[in-house]
Amino acid sequence: MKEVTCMCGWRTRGTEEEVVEAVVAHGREAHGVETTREEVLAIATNVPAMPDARA
Amino acid sequence: MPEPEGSESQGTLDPGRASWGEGPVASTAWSPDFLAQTLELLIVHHAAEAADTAATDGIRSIRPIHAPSIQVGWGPGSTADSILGGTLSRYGLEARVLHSTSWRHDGDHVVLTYLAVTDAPAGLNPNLTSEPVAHTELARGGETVAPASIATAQVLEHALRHLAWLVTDDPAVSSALPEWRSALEGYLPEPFRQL
Repeated sequence: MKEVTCMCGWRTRGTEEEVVEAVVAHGREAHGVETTREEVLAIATNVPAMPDARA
Repeated sequence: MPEPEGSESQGTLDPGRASWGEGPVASTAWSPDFLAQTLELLIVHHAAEAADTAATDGIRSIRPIHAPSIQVGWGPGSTADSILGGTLSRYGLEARVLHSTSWRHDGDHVVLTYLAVTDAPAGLNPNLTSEPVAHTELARGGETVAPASIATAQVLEHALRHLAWLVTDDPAVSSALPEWRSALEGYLPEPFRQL
């Protein structure tokens, strides 16, 4: 499982594919930038696979 | 299990390509191996020019544009002060006062909230927004149980009541924030009530 928290406060957690897709979409829609898969994985944090209690 | 803060590879996006791509704001994820693993940062500053609007006492809150507060992981080997100081620095801010003010359960983990008082920023990081703080009712629990839900605004209300007490009781805070005494007059001090 991966997690990315943007400096704008937006956060996503999921499988590698889910996180890459979500971050690319967030970057495009919220910040107007294109992000590569490699860039996403470079900033993603490994997290344990368990139910997410956070909002 | 997440690695300690700063021990893992921290890649960054090309800063020339993405204003938001300055690397993740948090690098330690939630884990059952830690008790108090999430730090929440509430940031306030005083805007003297806004003090005429009595409803807000001239106090403004700074938060991420897409979240009600900044939350970062707290891994072993680091102090909360150093983590949050670094977080503020990422946004171009520096705390005049940084004080732990409350904690609460959030699902399966614990969130420890710190209030940071900063100077009014000359230029706000584009990932942040500043908004006036209005009074709100505190979240109330039962005699031995926490409130069923706690909004960030209620955590901030509690934090400001706590700060109102500190500026009169704590010499370090009082000397650091002399102009805050009047701004906080509308906040009743109740730092030990449950949140």
